[in-house]
Amino acid sequence: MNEELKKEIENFAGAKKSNINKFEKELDKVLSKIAEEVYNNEG
Amino acid sequence: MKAKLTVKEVGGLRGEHVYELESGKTWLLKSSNSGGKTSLLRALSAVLSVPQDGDFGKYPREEAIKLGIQTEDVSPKEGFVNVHSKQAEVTLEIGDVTSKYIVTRDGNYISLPHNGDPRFLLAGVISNNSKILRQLRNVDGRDQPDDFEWAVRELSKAARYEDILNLLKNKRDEYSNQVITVNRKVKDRERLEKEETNLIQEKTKLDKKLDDTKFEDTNIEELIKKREKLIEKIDNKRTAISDEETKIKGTKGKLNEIEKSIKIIQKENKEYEAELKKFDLEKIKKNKEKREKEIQEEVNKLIDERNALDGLLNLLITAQASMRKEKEKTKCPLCEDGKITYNLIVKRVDSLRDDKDKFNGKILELNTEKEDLIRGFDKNQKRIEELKYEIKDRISQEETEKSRYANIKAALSGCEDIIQKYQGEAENFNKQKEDVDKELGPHGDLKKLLDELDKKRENISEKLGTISQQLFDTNIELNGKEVKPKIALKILNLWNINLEELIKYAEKRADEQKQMAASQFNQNIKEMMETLNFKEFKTIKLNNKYKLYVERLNPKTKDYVIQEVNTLSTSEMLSIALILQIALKETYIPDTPFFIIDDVMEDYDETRAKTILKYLKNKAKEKNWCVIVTKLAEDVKTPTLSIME
Repeated sequence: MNEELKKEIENFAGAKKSNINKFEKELDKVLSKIAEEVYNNEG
Repeated sequence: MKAKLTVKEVGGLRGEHVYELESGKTWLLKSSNSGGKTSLLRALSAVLSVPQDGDFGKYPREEAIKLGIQTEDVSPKEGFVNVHSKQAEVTLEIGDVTSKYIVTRDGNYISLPHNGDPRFLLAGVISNNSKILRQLRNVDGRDQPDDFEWAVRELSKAARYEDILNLLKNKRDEYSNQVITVNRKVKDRERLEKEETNLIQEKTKLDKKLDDTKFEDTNIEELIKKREKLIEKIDNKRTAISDEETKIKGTKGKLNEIEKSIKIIQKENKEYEAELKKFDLEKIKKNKEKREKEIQEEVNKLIDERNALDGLLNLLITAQASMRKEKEKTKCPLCEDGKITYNLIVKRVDSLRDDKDKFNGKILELNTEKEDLIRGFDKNQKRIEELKYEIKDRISQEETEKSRYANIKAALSGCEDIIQKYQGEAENFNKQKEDVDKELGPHGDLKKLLDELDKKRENISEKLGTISQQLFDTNIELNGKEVKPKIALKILNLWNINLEELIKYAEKRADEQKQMAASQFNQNIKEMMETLNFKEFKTIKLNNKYKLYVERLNPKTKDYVIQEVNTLSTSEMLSIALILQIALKETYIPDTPFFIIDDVMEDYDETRAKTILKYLKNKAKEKNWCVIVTKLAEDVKTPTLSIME
């Protein structure tokens, strides 16, 4: 999952006009996915 | 590349001025002191550096202020916009691409350039106000003169990676703090679960004891079994009631939160409404218009008086000019008897000039007041719009919260109905049990024993109900869900592992960017040093901590020694500043075809200035840049640009 975020970091660093809020949203999405997996595995 | 720069009402330049430039050449910008050279270069720097959204960010904003591209928020854009004008315009046409920057005195942007790069302010301009010279001279009194980490961070991508790093570290710290609370809840839960297990075991023992009780009479045995089944049913109902009560508790908590949120929204709205009530825009408008009219009348009157004074002043200046060559003579051509002396005229001219300045000062003051009135009115109008929007928004928020409240309340009422139903059923089972007890009447001892066992079981059930509620209270809200603390802990730990990995990655990338930038920067310095042949320096470079390292010739011993940056002489600082500035330009913004040298060439000695100019001319040709160098020329009133031969 971190590979997706590493790509997002690179996009943020390379963009002409970067938006940190957009990166934060992507980060929250990935963290939320991790949480969902734990919920599903733990019932 | 051919470029056309048009500036209108910028700083010291009144009206419109057009300049044509060609890349690959070094241009000389000449004018008298305060003739507008710096204003023109500010205009060019602005159109090349103001970003598309007008936001310079923290670091370049400070530079933009120092270089006069922006001013502090508290004061208008005085200094960039001509004092007599409401707005300044800068247009830069390069081939078919036109970039326009229009800004009003109160700082509102009407048009922003498309390709503005804020780094130009750090890398493309050298003047007495540019970052490098200020730092080497320690003008701001806060920088370590040798610390050039900013040059490898702010200008490279490292700054972006560090923005990400800050965000990731904040999140990690937030989750680490949460882990402490969750750990406590995990321990609480373990204790409660242990207690629950003990109670269940105790209850099972009691049940077994009841099972083991043997009865000789079959009828009594059946009654006892019936009684046990009824007790089990009563227990089940009690557990179900306890579960519903737990649900209600959770729901009530949510209702309380919504009630609080509604109260906050209502309070905010009341405050906004009260503020809105205070605005009587019609009255404010009338007062503003009245005062504007008064100001205009006063200004017109002052202009008339000043014009009259101007007439007299011109007359006296004419008289003064005609008498200047023959000061000893006292005859004035303006009076018949010739009693007015030259000195008297000079005195009168000075006094009238003072009066004129006072008139101009008063006119400017009134015009500023008028502009402040307009600005104040616009501000009020804007605030009214904001307040209306906030009020509308709060009303919509309140409606949403109320509808949420109603839905939860309906669900709560459903739970209460279920409890009532279960209570009725439990009561019914209890009556049936009492009937069985009556039938068992003669077997008093057995009944007594059963009653004791019942009571114990009832106590255990009650305790289990309380524990169930306490266990519910240990739940944690995470990612929009209520979860057991152990699960929350697992999630938080996984989040932190992932965040740590990302932090390490971003740190590594930021370091790589800094090192790459420093290496490129040092390479550019080295090449420049070889070309410029500055024999007094052996090495100028950034070390691995991005501190400036200078090795300089000791004229006495003829050896090279390490020289602390703050002990360099003024001319050495200037030489190093120029080398660093060109290296910054080549490292970070090589494709921006402009490089500006304002007001510093006069500070180099003649030989050095010649070497530098020769170098710059070659650089302009090689890189296809427009290098612009200013030169003071007292006889040139308006700035002129010419190719340096």
